[in-house]
Amino acid sequence: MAVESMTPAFRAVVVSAAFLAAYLFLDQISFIYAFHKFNITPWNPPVGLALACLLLVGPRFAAVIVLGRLLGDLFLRDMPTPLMTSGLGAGLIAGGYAMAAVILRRWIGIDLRLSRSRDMLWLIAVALVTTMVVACGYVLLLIAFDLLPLDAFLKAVTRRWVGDAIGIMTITPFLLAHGPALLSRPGMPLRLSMEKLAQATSVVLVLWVIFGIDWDESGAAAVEFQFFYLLFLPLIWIAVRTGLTGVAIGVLGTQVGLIIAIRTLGDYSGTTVTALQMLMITLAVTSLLLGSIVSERRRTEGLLRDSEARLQALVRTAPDGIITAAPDGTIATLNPAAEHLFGFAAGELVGQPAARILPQFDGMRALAAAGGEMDARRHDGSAVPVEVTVSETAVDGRHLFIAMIRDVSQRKQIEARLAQKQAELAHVSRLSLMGEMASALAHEINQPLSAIANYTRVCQMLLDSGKAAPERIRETMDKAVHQAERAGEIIRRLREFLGKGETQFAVTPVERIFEEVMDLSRTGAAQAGIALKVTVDGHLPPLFVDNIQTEQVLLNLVRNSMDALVMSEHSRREVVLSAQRDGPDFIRFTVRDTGPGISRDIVDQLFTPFSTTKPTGMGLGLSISRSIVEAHGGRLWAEPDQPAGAVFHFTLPIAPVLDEQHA
Amino acid sequence: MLEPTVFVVDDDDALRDSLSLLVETAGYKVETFPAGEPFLDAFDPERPGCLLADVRMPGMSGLDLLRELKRWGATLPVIVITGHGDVAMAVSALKDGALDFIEKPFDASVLMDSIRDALDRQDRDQRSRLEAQEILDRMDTLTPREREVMDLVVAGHSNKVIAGRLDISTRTVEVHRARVMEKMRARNLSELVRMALKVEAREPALA
Repeated sequence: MAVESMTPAFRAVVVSAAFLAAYLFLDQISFIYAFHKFNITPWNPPVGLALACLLLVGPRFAAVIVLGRLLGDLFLRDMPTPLMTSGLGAGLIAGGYAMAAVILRRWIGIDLRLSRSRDMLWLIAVALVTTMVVACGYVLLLIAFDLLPLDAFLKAVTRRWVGDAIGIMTITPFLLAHGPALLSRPGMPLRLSMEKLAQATSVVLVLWVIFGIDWDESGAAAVEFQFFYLLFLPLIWIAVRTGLTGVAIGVLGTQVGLIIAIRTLGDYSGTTVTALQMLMITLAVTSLLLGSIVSERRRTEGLLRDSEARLQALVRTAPDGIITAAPDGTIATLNPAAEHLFGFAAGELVGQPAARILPQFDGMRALAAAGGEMDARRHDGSAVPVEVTVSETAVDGRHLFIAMIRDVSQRKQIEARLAQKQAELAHVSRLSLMGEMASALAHEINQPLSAIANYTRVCQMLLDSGKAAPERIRETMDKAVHQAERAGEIIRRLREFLGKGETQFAVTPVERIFEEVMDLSRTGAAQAGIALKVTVDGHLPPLFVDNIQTEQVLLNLVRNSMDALVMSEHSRREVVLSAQRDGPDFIRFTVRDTGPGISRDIVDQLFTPFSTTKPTGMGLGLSISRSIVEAHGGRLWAEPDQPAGAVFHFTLPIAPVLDEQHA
Repeated sequence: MLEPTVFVVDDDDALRDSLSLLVETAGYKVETFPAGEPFLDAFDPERPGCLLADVRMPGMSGLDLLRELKRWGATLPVIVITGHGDVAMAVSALKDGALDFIEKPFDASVLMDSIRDALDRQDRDQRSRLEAQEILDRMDTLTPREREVMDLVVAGHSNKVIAGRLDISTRTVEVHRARVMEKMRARNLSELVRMALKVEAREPALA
């Protein structure tokens, strides 16, 4: 049955019974060299057990300790003192150590596993003080009840103090370090190794050297004291190699061995044994402190290693380049991402100046202040856009700069593509804006046109009546003229809009014009089942035109053809765009469709504003197109009466060839 | 009878002026308004004529004006002027009771035809309304008994049947009948029936 699964009350009984058994056992084996038959012995391990239990369970365990103490007096010592004295003594001892436990746990807050050297230091200090106080109290109690003469005070206190102190030093750290493990996994938590065996052997050997060899024929114990320091060697070995857990066992083992050696190998007085125990206290304190320092160190190193490993993993797997550098820019470390980014082999950049990868490098501090985007140079000399963030830190008073370098070339590419798309969009919207503008203006132009029609009709009617005053007719005609001017103004505004200082003549390849127009027409053509074809006559020199306006003209002709084809219901629907050289200075564009074509009757009206054959047309497209072409110095005309369909031509100027020598 | 007036509502000064001149030259009386609101302020349902209104105007549109007149129960015929290709506008104008629509830019003769048609219709309408009113006035002079006799005569019943229905002698029916013919100034039975039908067509509730 595991201790954890018991009911609390039952567990308390079991723990108490186990404690009492252990307590009485330890009391029994350690009741040696008793001082005046009282429980004043050179080694008092029950006290160590009691303090460990008080620390682990709490001050309420003091009651069980009182009971153990009384049972010990009753059965092991045959009641050396009256019951009242025994009870008071038991209460004093239990209360004193309960107090020590409270001070250690509550006030100082030591870690009960003694994981830090601080915990061990406090345990030893509090133990030494408490044992002194308890020893004084206990001896005074005996004197007060006339059980001990007053002049035995110092000797009794010393013995009691040393016995309790060594009892705590040997038992309490052992129980605190191993007790919980022993409870959960019964059996020694000690894995034997050759070294541990050698350590144990060396302790035994040293003890035999001290006590077994009869160094002095006189039998005086002086030699034992001279050689005692030898015990430091195995215990320091144990402490350094195994830390607190090992040394706690070592100290306990040494003490047990010491007692056995004293008991079996010589005949020593209680005073001599107490003196030897004082040496043992020194040994125990030294080795326990050393052991706890070693343990703490190991633990800290473990934590450091762990944290270092995490940090390393973080830096190693970071997607951004991470570089540390000295204030002068000498690279100290860099992670794989940085090496990969710059195309260097592992370790190749360490010790190199940062300027090797950052051409604009101007000192680490300037970099930290500026940061931001810059061009970095790779191993092969190519530039890569990066975003640099530099932070400064101080390690042991040395300044260190940490640079985070992010490759932004992909982002840059996306930004560039986005900008290009936006430019294209602006281009398309400008083309469609022209259409909307034309529509709005056509609507506006209806007003003066209607007014003109009305005024002229009035004039006709007045003339027909034959009796109207000429002034009246003249006045009305003036009004009509005025409205015609208003219409002209609207047309002028349209022209101004098209020309609006935005006419930008540039060297433009013919292919580019075709590409743009095809891009804008392809979808509509596919939906209407019209085949769009481009034929370019050999290699043509580039044009010198405003490409947007040129595209508008070509697009307009293509749209006209497509509209005509849709209306005509012809089975063969085809629009062919072609370009060819026309004289030394021009290129002629031709748009030919398989629609109904243009009759000679309407060819003259084609370019008149507001004349249209389309149900929803404005009748402006061709007139605007002709204006644009003429503004470029070219011509736009239609070929009437073609059997195959409509044919439109326009010419645009070739870019002048610059003669380098005369430029 | 009052001389009919062509009311022109258009926000465009030139168009309004030219329309006014055109209509005036064609011999009609014209009144112009720059927007729908002042026209409604000056509106008199008694005045005969027709309305020529532009569909697209800032503020109250031609369609709004049309609906407002309809709401008032006005019988003034309306011709709306729409932009070129503004088919949707024209359709909703006709649905809202416009007599006709003309597209800008328009041929003056088309406009003139439309105005003439509107005025003729209005004139006919006016005449028929006046005629009906006159018949109603005459009917008001009949005594209740004479009115009963007239209704039954118009319904095609013989004097004998009428006498039976009204529980009076045939002789009495004949006297009432003669009084009805005299008061209604009907020369014969068919004229009386026509009068009754006219009143019924125009104002069924009174018949």
